[in-house]
Amino acid sequence: MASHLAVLEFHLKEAWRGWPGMALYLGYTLIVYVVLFSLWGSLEAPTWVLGYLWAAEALYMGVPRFWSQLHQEARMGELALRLALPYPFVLLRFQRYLATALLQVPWVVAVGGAVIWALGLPASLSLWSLPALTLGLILNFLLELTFALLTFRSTSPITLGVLLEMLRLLGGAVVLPLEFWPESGALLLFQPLAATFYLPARVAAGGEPVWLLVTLGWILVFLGLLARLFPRALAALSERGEV
Amino acid sequence: MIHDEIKPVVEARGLGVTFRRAKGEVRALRGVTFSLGPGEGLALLGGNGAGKSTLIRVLAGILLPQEGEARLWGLDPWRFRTRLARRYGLVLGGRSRLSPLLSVEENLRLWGALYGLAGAHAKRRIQEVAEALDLTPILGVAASRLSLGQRNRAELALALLPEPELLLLDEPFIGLDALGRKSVLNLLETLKVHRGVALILASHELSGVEGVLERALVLRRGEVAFLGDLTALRRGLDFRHVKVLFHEPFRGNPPPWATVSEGGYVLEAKVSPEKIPAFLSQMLALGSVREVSVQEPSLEEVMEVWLRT
Repeated sequence: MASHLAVLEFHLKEAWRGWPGMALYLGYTLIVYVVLFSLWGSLEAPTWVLGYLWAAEALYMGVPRFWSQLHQEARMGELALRLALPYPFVLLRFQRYLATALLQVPWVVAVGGAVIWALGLPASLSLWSLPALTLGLILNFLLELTFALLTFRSTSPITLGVLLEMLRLLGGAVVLPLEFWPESGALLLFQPLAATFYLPARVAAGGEPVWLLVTLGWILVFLGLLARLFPRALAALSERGEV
Repeated sequence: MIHDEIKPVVEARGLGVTFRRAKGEVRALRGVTFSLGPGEGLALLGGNGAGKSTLIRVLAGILLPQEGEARLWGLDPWRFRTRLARRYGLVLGGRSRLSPLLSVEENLRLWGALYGLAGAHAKRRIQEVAEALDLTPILGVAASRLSLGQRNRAELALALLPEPELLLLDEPFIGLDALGRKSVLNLLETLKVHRGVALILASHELSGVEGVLERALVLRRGEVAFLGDLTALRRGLDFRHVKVLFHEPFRGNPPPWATVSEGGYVLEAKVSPEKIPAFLSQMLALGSVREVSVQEPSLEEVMEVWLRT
């Protein structure tokens, strides 16, 4: 346990030292929040919607994207050095992801809160926000890692990355809660992106906490999927000599 | 019954690796067989694309061979990669494990934690490797601000941190000056001789390597072209460097393939071993000889010949 905490500590230091980039990103987040809250605040939407957008954006904007970095490491042969360690590769990646998320998500939440306060909007987050956002973070990590492993086969994954981002926005109902979708939109509930963004944000905004079981279920599904996919992805890299 | 036989650290039997790429198949290794015991040093030699890096990656459990088998301490490195990683140190030249935003010391502490080193033991090891690789003055410097040579010494420090029993070094001398290379070679020799660390070193920078490694494996297009003692590899060449110093500038015509320097005081030539007596008679006829030295070809010259053939 001590070594896990030590590893996390150094990743936190590393993430903290990247503050200029993070500050720039928070500036962008501020603009997004102002636009979204001004827009939805001017509509006569239910009060939970603002809390939902606050939490959904915190997850969407706060979680680190690392699939392209992992893809690049694999293509450059740098993955090898992280595989040849007595520390599990996935755990190491998770520690790095968690460190950035632990710094980024609270800041994004704070920026959202500041905008809500400045605009005088009636938005709040429930006590379930913490477990909801935590589960959302974990599922997002597993999704990101799975996507990275799938891109190992592709030499130009940029298009796939753009597609993933669009799917995240739409399938995760990041800017428009599923309640505002046509009836068929309810089908989106059965895919993992809804469990990553929509359900945790909905629970954070006062929804039924039992919905988090769906996110938990998807976490288990992705853990099982990764257990099969990870060795295959490595074997595929090995076959092409790219590791 | 007591066995006093020393178990090999590395065993490779008929290793074959074929990469399947968009442009077709590339045969990277074919039928590579060798073994290495504790405290032994093996120079992995060959031109670009000969298969040296592939072989090191197979031994580190990062590449899966399609043919044959590799074993480290009797275990399959691909299957037991995480377990075996505690026992070997790996350097892949040109590839960095250092986090650019952390200082050298923080990087060492992070990697110490990854290897399960903690507390006073971790501190002692960091101090030891930093001293051995002359990193102490730059421990507080961010990795992003290191020169290439400093970065490579820090990479080597990461590999040495867990006190490995085997070192797999692929081009570890990139960016090191002559002095830096010499001190790294001295350190490797100490580890090999006094701690019984087995050593596999692939490098194009061969000067000084002979003093540390006693065996060589030459790969040519993925196949073993030579496996044996480094001295035997050198003796395989059919020439020796003969240097003749005269008391006064020689007179007469020297052989056209000889090099004359110092205004006729020094004459150097590459001569076949069996022709050396005749060559020396010829030299005595040219003038009064003060000194003669006969040297075997350098490892660089050996490799030059191997690469040409």
